[in-house]
Amino acid sequence: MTRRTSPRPPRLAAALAAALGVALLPASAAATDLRLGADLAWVRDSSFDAFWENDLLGRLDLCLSYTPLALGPFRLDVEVGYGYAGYLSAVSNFDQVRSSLSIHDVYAGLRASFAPEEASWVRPYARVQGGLAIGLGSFADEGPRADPLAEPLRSSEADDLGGLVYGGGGVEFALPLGALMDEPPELLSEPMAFGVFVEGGYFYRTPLDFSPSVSSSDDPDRIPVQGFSAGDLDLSGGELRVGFVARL
Amino acid sequence: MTRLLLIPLLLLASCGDREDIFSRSRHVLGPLPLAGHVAWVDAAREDLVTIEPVASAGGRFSFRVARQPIGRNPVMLGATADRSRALVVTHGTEGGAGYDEEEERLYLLDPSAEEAARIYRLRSPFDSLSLSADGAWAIAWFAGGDAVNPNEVAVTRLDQDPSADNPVLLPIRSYGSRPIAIRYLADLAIGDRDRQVALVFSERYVTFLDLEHLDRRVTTVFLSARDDAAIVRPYDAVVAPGDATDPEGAAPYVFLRAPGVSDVFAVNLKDNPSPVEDDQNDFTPSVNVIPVPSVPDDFAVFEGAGGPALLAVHPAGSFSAVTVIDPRTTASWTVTLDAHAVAIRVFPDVPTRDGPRQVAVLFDQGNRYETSAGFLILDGIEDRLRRNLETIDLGAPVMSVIPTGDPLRVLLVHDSVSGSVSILNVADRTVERLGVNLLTGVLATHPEGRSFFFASPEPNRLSMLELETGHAEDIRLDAGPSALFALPGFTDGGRLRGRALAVDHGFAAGYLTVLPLDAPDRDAAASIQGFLADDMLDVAPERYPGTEVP
Repeated sequence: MTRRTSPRPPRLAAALAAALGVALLPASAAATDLRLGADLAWVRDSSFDAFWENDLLGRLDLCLSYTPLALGPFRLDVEVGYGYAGYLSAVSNFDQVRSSLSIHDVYAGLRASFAPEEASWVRPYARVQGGLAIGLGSFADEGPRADPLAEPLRSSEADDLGGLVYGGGGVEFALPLGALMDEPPELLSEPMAFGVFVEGGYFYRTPLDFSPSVSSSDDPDRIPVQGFSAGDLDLSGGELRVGFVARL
Repeated sequence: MTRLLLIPLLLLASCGDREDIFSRSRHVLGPLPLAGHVAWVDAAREDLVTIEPVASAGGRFSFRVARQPIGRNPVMLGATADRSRALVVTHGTEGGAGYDEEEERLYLLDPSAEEAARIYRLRSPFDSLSLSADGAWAIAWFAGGDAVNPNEVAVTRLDQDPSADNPVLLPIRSYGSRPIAIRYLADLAIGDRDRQVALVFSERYVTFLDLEHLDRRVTTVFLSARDDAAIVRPYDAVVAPGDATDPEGAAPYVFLRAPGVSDVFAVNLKDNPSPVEDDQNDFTPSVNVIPVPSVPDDFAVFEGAGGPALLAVHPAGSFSAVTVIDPRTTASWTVTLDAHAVAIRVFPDVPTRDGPRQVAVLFDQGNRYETSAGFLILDGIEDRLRRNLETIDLGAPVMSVIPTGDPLRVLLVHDSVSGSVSILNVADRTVERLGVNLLTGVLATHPEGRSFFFASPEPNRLSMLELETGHAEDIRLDAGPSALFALPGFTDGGRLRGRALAVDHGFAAGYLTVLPLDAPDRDAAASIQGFLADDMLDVAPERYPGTEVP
């Protein structure tokens, strides 16, 4: 039995050529967006309850995007960003430990958007991001101790590095600056705009493994203290994100 | 637009409750020293937490932390006599609010978590547990509080697996009273056989349980004082073993005393090899009420001229006196002391000029105004009486007496104002004051009696005193102590594990420091902190459906 080999589809070759051409487009198609967002994630895993009284993880996000590809109403942006959550603290009554948490995210991603001709001020989009999360945990004994007047011990500290993947979609409402100016600057490849966005998505984060210990670096004469294994912190969850966008 | 934003926010907020376990109140039982572990019950998380110090060759300690699940509502933490196992009593739950019904249990746990726990069904919410010295028996009973039947006890054989017949629930006949205390008489020879007997004290009664024949009727003995108005609440028991060479078999005496009663109850246990009925016990008690000049504060047994005899100390005018009682004839001899005394310690083999002698040391333990102690040679006391007595000044009152590894030396803890301690040498009757202060500290004894350890705050330090050489040494600690344990260790395949001196600092989330037991050294010390919060992020919320167990 002979095996037939089908010819390469001409559409695929055309698409590859188009993509190459688009990538080599001059920067006239580029635009730069700056987004400042406030996120609210719904973290269902109980490990988060050690750090916060409810399941809502608030986070600030700063994202810079650049448009290397623009085809008519479609745009493909590359993004880099930084996220921060750092005010989380709660006492676990069962062990009288006050746990504090801060999270630093750095990520890169792609964002595909579409602006209908009849309503260019609204731009639906979808995005994916991937990156690293640095978790810093602090665990302080809040309970009664044998000698309440004695100097309390320092908190046990822990940190861990995890990965993150985010996927979501939303809509952006932008008002071109030209609508407010008689003549927009010619330097801009695209009219400068300001707006807001609202977005929903899901964050998958690899669990952060916290094994807190007391540092003895500032007191080398101290008896070495072995820490404990607090366990894994899973911050994955659905997220709602709102914010401001500035298109430059 | 604003509404669109608010709706998901409100949905998120309404679904974001914290799991109930994080709101449970902290409740910890312990620390409890075991052979090579220190144990806690984390009652909020229903776990037994154990720490084993692991000595590295020539280096510092590390720690092995084990967390084992136990039942709902743990209420008691104890240890077997050899301290190789932890015992936990749980009261379970009636169910509801997300909980399945769970009955009362007794857990026998390997602190290393290398063997599965034995779980005995107690079936009643007992609030006290009495253990035999050989670790084979545990009797759960109601010491206080409300109980449907306070006269029920559960007898558990710990050296056997749980079964339908282990534990055995028994009713104790106390005729309107309830158990006050339980004592064990291990390997008590009656006739030609050793018995394992437990005594259950209740008001006006003492019940004898033949632990190896719980299918037989329990034997209850009525205790009536010569003064009919006095209510006998048995408080203490000592045993005078029978004569094994007696052709009729050994017939031991069990002596009982009760507060406010100036009698001693001598219960003679005789062999009854041919009981009339099948469920009848094969020993028979008979009670003899022996008068004492006044209410005895303490008593002890020694080897008298004609066999075991009883020595009771009691008030006598301005001072105290001791009365020697021969239980076989009820003959007695009274010796007036030169000082107050309320406690007796018998040293059976004290070297003297005339050879080894039995010596009783009589202290007024707990009296901050009495500094004297009486030394009474018990051999020939019936004839020599006060000529066998010598009184010495200890230099300070005695709060408690702690044995050392040396049978001829005891540690005297003096008054609560100074907290000072000294060593009493019974052989040469000398007192050596030690330069440590126990007022705010904690004390531990080397398992082989080689030394004492004291840990105290401000300054945080550990003091060690070697008994053999008198050498004392201080070691600085990084935090104040709340408990101090000398862990003798346990053998595992020929290897000694867990031997260490452990200082608990009393922190809520746990803070323990360990040092080498035989040669404590700060350079070899290590600490562990936060172990009671171990796995706090991994708690399974479905295990704790509510903040409280119904």
